[in-house]
Amino acid sequence: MWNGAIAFGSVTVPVKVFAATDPRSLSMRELHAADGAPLAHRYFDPDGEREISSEKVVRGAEVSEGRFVVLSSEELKAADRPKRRAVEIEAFVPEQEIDPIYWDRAYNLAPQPEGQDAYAVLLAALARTRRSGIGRVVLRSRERLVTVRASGSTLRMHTMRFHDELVKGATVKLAATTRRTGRAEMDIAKTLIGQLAGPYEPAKLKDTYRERVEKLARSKLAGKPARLRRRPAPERTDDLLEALKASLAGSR
Amino acid sequence: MPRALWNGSLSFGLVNVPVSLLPATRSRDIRMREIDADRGAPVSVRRICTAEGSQVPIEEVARGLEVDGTIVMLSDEELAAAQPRRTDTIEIARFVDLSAIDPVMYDRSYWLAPFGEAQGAIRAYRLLVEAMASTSRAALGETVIHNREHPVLVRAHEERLLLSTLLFANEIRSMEELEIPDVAVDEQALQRMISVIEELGTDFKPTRYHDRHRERLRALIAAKQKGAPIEVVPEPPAPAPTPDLIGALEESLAQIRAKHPQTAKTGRGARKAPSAPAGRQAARKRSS
Repeated sequence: MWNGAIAFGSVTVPVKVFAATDPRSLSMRELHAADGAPLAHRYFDPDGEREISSEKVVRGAEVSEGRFVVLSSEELKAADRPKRRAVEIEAFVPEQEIDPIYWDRAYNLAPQPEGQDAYAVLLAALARTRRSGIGRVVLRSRERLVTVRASGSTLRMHTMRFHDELVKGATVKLAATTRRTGRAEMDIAKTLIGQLAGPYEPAKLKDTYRERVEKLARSKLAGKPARLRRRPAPERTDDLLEALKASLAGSR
Repeated sequence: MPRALWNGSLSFGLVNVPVSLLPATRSRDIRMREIDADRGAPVSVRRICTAEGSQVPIEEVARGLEVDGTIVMLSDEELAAAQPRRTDTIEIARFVDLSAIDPVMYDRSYWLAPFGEAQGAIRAYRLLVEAMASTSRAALGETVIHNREHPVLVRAHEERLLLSTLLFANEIRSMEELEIPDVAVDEQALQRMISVIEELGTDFKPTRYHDRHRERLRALIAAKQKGAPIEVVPEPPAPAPTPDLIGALEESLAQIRAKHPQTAKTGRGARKAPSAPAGRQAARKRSS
């Protein structure tokens, strides 16, 4: 999707950028319940009375109550003016220090033919030092903060959230409790966590909802009622210590 | 506290913790609206029935899925019945090492807040936070948010429970299609690259990075408002590749050392950890 380079100091590593993910949500269509016809989204004037053609639709930012400044997409591109098409690396930070909450989208980086050696050297050096490059790059006319990291035999780039885009944990109110966590509860909870410990096996996790909706639609199309069995809800218990003990007994 | 997206419960074993789901991130982007060029005000978007040509109010909107070229209408009841489990429960299936999750799997983040005032519930919430924090494990489960099923990871963060939705494995593109050639790494170049990385090494301090785009866009909007002409910028060129990698690395080292002479003398925190063999061993273990 993008050809450029990773750059720092006098070094440039020419790369090609590809999306690393391919979200597969169900693409549901909106229909008119009365006749089953698909719905179209159309532009209307601000009063919603007269339909307008899409050429009359421009983009604008509100500058004061009800006042908008219109900017063309060419003008929007003028906000960030990169000198070159590059991921400009500012620093290399220990990989472990970046909390996953900062990750946004992931991209795969592939070397361009003339940059294969530099790519291999950067990849090996990042893996060896366990560091990730933090830099900036303009993607789709918007400057992003990114991490460049080694992932097996590939360099990956992640766009990142800025710290002021994170909602602080302290905003989540915790009511005071009359007593602190008891030793017995803590011990059982830790034992339970240990017993329920296992590997992370992403390939075993299936999007059963998507599969079931597709199955439902197919059987409805064939005129057959679909029979979907649901997993039972867990039982509820109010006594924490008892529930922990019972869970522990159940997991053995 | 931000508004809850969902109220339900987190369950592991027979323990149920009533929780609310709150966004953990918020966009600070300057909002661009679609404007009617003639009127200078935001357009309204209406749903039109493609058969009748009439406007359709939201109450009359149904949903459908296209299968084998036909769109099949599905009622809310049918869609609800397709939920594999109760949608108000996050079921914890197992506990995993946080380091086992590849960063590429992370999608969105939410806070879990204790829901309700019951002492038992708040104690159970705190217990889960404390127990996960002390074991460095995260809980892996599944849930449905906005009609989409997600694997979720719940972990202790800032003394609260943080939930991250994860992608499914089939949503990650294969790296094989990139056809990255297996190139022998030049040892001399590698050593110099490591030196450059260590010289440019710092701790990760998120507050050091500000969204410059937001500031520049704001300035651009202000300029346009005043009627200043906006100069259109051409597509920037890709930088020329480095013809001599070792030479470029050496030049970089010299530049960095000239710029930060104090670094060479004192050494920043950066240089310590990765070069110590014990530290490296531990780090490798954590990531496996």
